[in-house]
Amino acid sequence: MFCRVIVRDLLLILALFPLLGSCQKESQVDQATREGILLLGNSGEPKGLDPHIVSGVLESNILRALFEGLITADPLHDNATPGGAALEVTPDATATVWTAKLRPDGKWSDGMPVTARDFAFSYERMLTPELGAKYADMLYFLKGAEDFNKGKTKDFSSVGVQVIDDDTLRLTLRGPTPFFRQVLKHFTWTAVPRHVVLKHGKIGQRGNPWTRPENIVGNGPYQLKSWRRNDHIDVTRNPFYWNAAHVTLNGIRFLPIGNPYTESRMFRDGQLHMTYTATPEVIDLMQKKHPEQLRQEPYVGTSFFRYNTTRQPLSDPRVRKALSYAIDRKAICGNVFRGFTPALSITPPMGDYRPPQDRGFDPEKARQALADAGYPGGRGFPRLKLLIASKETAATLAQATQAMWRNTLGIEIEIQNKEWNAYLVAMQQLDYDIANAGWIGDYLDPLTFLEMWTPDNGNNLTGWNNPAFAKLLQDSFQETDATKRFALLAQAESLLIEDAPVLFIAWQSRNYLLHPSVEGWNPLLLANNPYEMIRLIPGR
Amino acid sequence: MIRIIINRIGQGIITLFVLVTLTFFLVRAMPGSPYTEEKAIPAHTLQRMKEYTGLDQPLPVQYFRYLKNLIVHQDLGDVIKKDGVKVSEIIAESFPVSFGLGVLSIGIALMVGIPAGVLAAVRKNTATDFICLSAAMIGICLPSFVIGPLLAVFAGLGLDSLNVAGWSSPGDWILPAITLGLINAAYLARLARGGMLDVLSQDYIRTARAKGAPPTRIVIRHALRGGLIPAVAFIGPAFAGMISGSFVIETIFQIPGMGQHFVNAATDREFFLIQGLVLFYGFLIVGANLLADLAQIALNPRLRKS
Amino acid sequence: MEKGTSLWKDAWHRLAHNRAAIVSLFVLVFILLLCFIGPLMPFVKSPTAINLSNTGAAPSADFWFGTDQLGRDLFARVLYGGQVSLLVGLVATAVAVFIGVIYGAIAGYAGGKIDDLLMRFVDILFALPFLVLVILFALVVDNPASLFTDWIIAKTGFARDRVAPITTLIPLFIAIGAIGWLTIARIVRAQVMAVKKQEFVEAAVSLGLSRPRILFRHILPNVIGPIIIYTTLAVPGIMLLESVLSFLGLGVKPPNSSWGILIKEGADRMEVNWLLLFFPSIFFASTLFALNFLGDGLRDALDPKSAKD
Repeated sequence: MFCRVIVRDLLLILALFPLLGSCQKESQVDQATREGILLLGNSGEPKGLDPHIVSGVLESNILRALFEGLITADPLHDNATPGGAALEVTPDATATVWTAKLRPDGKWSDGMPVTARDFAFSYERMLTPELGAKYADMLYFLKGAEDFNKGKTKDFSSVGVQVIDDDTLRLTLRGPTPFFRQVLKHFTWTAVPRHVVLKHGKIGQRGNPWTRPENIVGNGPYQLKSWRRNDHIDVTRNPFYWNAAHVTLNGIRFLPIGNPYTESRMFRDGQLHMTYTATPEVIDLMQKKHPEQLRQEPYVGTSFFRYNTTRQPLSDPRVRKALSYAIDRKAICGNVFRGFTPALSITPPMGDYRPPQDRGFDPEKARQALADAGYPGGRGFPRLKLLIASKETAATLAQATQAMWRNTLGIEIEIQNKEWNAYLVAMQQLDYDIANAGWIGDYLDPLTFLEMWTPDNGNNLTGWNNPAFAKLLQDSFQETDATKRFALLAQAESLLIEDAPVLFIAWQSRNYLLHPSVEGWNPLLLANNPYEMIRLIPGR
Repeated sequence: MIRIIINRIGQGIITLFVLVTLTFFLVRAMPGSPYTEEKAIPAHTLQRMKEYTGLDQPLPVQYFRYLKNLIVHQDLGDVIKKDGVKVSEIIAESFPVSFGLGVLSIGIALMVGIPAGVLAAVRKNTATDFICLSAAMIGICLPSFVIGPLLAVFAGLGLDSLNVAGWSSPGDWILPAITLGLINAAYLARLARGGMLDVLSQDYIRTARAKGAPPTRIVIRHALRGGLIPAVAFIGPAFAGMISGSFVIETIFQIPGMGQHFVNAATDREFFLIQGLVLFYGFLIVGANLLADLAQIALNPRLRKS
Repeated sequence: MEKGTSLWKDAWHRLAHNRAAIVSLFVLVFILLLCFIGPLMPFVKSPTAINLSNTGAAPSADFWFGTDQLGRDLFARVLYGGQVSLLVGLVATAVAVFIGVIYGAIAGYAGGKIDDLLMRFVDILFALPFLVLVILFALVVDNPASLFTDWIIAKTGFARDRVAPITTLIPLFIAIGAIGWLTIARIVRAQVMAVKKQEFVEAAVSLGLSRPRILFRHILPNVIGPIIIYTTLAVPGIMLLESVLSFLGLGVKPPNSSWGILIKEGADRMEVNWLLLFFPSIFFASTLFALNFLGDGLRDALDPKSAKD
């Protein structure tokens, strides 16, 4: 009896639950497509929505909907720099003083006008030392910004930000910056509403509640509608947006899906228009099942190994080169990463910059270099450790390179995996031999990949110190001519290749899944596609 | 009786205090800090960020400040990496989700595990015994990170009415609850079988049998109550385990529960969040043990005297 | 001691008549032999030899279980991975059960203030954030472990490839053993508390037997059933814990592997190549099924009351 009752209840409940769920006959994607709402996988819960506080890619995906910078991304061309909040941003002859002419019809989502004062306030807030903005150095392009941010002066008028009138802003930079329009696309250069920020707190106050869902005001095409932590963020049309009439998409739902396998299953189950990423396994599967839904596009990211150049025997450039030449990058891109391309320089292809090229896979030269360094056939070579963070692709990459070093050079490298934070600490304290790492550019200019290798940069972490490299970058800061400037940067990069403190492995690609109903999502190097131009076509 | 209760509550408070103190110093001994990031934060900015959360102070100052905020203001502190989010908000939002999932999966575990275990005991060493236990044991013989995706692919992708992941409609609860329930069903079945066998060999059951009472009646009337004690005693710890240990299920099914915070807070070095979670969890454990002990004392007159 | 001998004899006799338990015993022995003796056979390939031109191959006469995403022989990886998982399952569980039984028995038997103190300590350990402890332990143990490996190699002259896979597991045994005993301690305590009120204990006390003798000779044998059940139930969790800890850098180092790690990798690829999940899972699951049925058989065989059946 007892058992029978339990079994009956079990069957009843199991039968009832699917009924509750089955009210929705069309999939969530079909319904959202009909309603003009884009469902996006966004990899995780944002750390906040204050453009001056956050720094991640997933946050920038949401900020792009809520805030609009002076210049915005073009839906088709990476090099184009259409005006956003500004009608135009024009340089002087030396590309040092830039004048932004704001849209007279620009409005915040509470109806207040967007003025030059808002932008000046924003840059002052970002640079105010008390705020402790992580990404304040993105604004160091401004004259005097670094000194102000580091507290060397308290006088913001010493910084190159000048309000001419309500619609005109003048920005004076530290030197000629012909690519400044590209920099302006970054979310750190967007404005925050002065009247709202000051209503809820002071200028240099951390934890200002102005970005709470009930308070937040932006000037982007969308405004925040609802936010359930670890579940979703909904944005909906901003009626005050200057171009609201031409915004095609009614809203976007950002889903913080941390597990990429879950994300791809949700996509295949009709719960997402677009995934944040696609792992190698998912790529293999989709190539078999729905190749048309798989996107693999170039991205401004590079995977590489750092060498600790302060340790024997890695202090010898010949050893570093030997290790580098022994890596078959093509095989790695084919078997470990999908869609990545073998990297022969730190800077991935972008714009008109042509980076110098490293030698690449050359077993003969590799053995030769190791012999020259005093380890013929790998004899006597110490047992070095390859530091990786606890992530699956990192482990696969490490095992592949371990085998390549063994087979080509006859040396044994030990893999040392550490939990993420411990891994970062080991790298930052130069407590490693070789470390797996990656870098993603903030804007479309080689500088975003080269500046980190200067001796005093907090992201160098190799112990490599070449004054000539730093000097070339300094020279480039004074160069007005774009071609000559690129030549200087290329020269600097060839020093990086020559000294080899870094082993370039692959230029990354952005791999993701895209539903056929989404129209107008074009490949962009920074994946900073403007949402307002996207169309959702039902029935595909 | 009242003295015992006061004594027990006192013990609970001391336990929690030791727990909070230990956690406070342990989390700060981990390598890295909440500010360790892939792109290094400049020193002057880092200083300012630490001042804001008080992490620039010497450890004793931090410790007493934390205790003061905890006791005087009932404030668990901020989530360091999240702009303007309190630890208490995270707990308040995620606990109900974990609680609901826990109740549902315990229900499933009971409905699968107990009948399987009882039947296995009654039909000891027969094919029924073997089949019941095998079925119940799938949940521990395959890891949840296999069962979860398998269910998601076959049931979630296969059936239109079930989503593979998410937490928006009641239908979304089924797959994670089954995955989580199966694990505990295995425990319950094995414990129920063992417990039932112990009881079935007791003299009073033999007497009932000798008197010619029908076997089903013996099982239901006499054996179940005693035989299920080990299984029922397991429910409490199992439930606590679900609150803190459901990270895998939560990531596979995209559930905004509490388990992910226990993992992510540790890997993110979210000092205040870890402390808050541990205190909350410790409170649950101490509270549950206290209740169990009190119930035992109330039910057992012999213990009441001592 | 005559009575004791016949008890064990009876138990063995009862076990031998339990078909499920005997089959399980054979399965376990077979898997143990396969994993520990199998790799010595010449036809078993290297588990770490990478071949990027033969990745994800289907099973064949050459590669019985096919190859993984780096072209390694899955059969060899399952066998070598089994060594790790079985060692962890045996040693770490033994450590945990040993600590847990003694601790729980003392707490349950002593009662009163000692019991309170011991159990509050268990409460604290139970509530402490597991991951924090693991990260700290990994930090502390990193250097000593590699120094110990070097020391063994220097002393014995064995090849590193043979020493390192075993020595790197020691921190794992310690970590799992140190955490895994908590639940068992609780169970044993509760059982001991229940048993110590029974007449035969009171009889032993009145006979003037020493307390340790009463506890270990008379009480513990009576709670052995639940201990066996919990032990066999704990093994799967402990084997999987190994893969989590290895992932955090405490334990197996790539390119070495374990069943837990292989299953995790296979689960990620299950829709592309389900065999990568199937083979390690079959080994893992059959071991655990067998172990648990053997556990039940042992429980039944050692049940003092079932003798009357």
